Amino acid sequence: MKDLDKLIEIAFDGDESAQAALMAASSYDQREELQSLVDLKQGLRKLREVPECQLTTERLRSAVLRSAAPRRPQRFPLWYAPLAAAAAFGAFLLLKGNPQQDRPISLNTVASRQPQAKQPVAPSVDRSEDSVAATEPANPIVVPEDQTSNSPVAFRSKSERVPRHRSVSDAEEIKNAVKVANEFGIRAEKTEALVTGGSGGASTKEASMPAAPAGSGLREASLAGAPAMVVVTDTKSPETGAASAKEVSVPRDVVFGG
Amino acid sequence: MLSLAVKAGLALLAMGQQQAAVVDPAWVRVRSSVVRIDAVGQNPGLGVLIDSRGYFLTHKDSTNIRPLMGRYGDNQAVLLTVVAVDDQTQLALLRAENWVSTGQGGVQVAAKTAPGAPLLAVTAVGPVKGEFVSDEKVGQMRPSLRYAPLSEIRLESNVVPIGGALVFDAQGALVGVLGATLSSNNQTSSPGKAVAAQKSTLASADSVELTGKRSQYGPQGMTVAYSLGPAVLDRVVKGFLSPEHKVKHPSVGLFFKASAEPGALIEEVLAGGAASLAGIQPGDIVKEADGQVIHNPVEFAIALFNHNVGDKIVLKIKRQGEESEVSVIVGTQD
Repeated sequence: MKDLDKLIEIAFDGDESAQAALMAASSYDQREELQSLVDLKQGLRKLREVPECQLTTERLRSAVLRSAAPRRPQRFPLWYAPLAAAAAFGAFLLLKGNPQQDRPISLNTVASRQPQAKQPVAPSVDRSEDSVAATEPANPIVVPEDQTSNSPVAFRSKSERVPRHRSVSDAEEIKNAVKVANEFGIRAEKTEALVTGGSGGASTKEASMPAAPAGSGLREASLAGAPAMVVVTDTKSPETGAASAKEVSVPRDVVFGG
Repeated sequence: MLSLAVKAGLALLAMGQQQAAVVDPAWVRVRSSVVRIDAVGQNPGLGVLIDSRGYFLTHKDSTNIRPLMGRYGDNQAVLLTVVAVDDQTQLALLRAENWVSTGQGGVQVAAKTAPGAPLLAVTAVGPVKGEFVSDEKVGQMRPSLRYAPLSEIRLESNVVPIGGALVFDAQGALVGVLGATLSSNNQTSSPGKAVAAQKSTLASADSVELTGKRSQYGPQGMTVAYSLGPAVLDRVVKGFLSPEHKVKHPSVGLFFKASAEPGALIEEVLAGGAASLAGIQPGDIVKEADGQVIHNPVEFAIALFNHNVGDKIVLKIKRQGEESEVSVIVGTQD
């Protein structure tokens, strides 16, 4: 009985060092009892954190009524509607504008008219397969090779872009692979080239790499029969204490080592 | 006054446990082989006896405690030392000091577990019932990126720390050591599956006990967990119990991924590896392995895994439109 009293005293009044010392010194049963007492203490603490409004149904009802959002004033009075419609119509006519502005711009005037031309969106990180990776140079105007000098400026649509061999998600996978490869002594410049897609100096790898393959469609087709994959990461789940796993339905860009 | 209230609470708790304390048959079979590795300030680990010489299998995370002390359910203590760690699988081999053999050989690795079979997961805070889902999951282990076959296991709880938990089937054979759980945003929350799993686990056995404590059961949630598949677990145990206590995972020194055509595109070749010595280069596409057509990198990874160190594997390689065959001697990952 005295032991239990001592355990209670340490669990409720003692500091963590005293608890740890007792944990290390005592028997298994005592440790179990001490742990349950510490849990009980924490449970009691949590009990105090229950919102007051949840303690009785009457208080809950009044809390709900008090917390009801006030009616918001009408932001857009109805008498504005005709005026807004007229303004929208005027804006439409204004934007439609002079049809001469739609004429193609010759290459001779590109430099001075460039700000008016439709600018391609700046390169951004996009994980989709057809996207342009962040390392692609920002070239505002792309002229197909077979165009003559006086042909109109043309922009390649997204679907017309040459699919790149590696997407951003590829690079992430390869970074992991390279991390392991480095442990096996792979050269640094080679790994850099692998991640960035750059030349990275003359290496047999770059010389022997095939040209950019046809788009992702073929790769999807080649993966049609591949089973779903579980990627076991090296980060631990705080809830379970085990590594976090993620399911990948189409293992398109997953790199395997073997 | 406070002590009286606490005592009354503990007494009620003990009564509730006694009423529901029906020992699980699997636990009866394995309890004398399982030790709890205690630690202050972190979740305890677990070890299981796998050999009569006093060798225990555990998760790597349980080995960073000093002194490494294992305790049986009856509080008998055993001092443990780390013999080997397999980084690929995160498993470790421990040896009991001053071990006196009682002839007990420990648990065996389960050869095959049927989907839907009831399981018992022994966690550091008590047993949790579960269900075997599949042993055909394709796993990629980070950061090594190696392939590993995984077993998927559903547990009837989502509140227990289960990292390193030992999973046994009804016969007491070791099904796996839980090493990963599905991220919460990927949890398969199909109501039908959850209900089916609950029914099966509730019907499997009434209750289990471990040193008088039980984990929370009930419909509060399910946890999808993964352990190494039986093939790789058997390979690890055999490697650990070999004279050099070393696990030999097959490797040819390649990193590969999906290609634009059927096959496995070689991304990187490790210098000095078996594939490098055989002349395989980055950009090559593996089309066949030992006559088996390779449609995707998963198939190639499985084909590699099914070989043993020292085997010869014949690969059909496509390079710049031309196909050729090369023979590679499977090596280890070292």
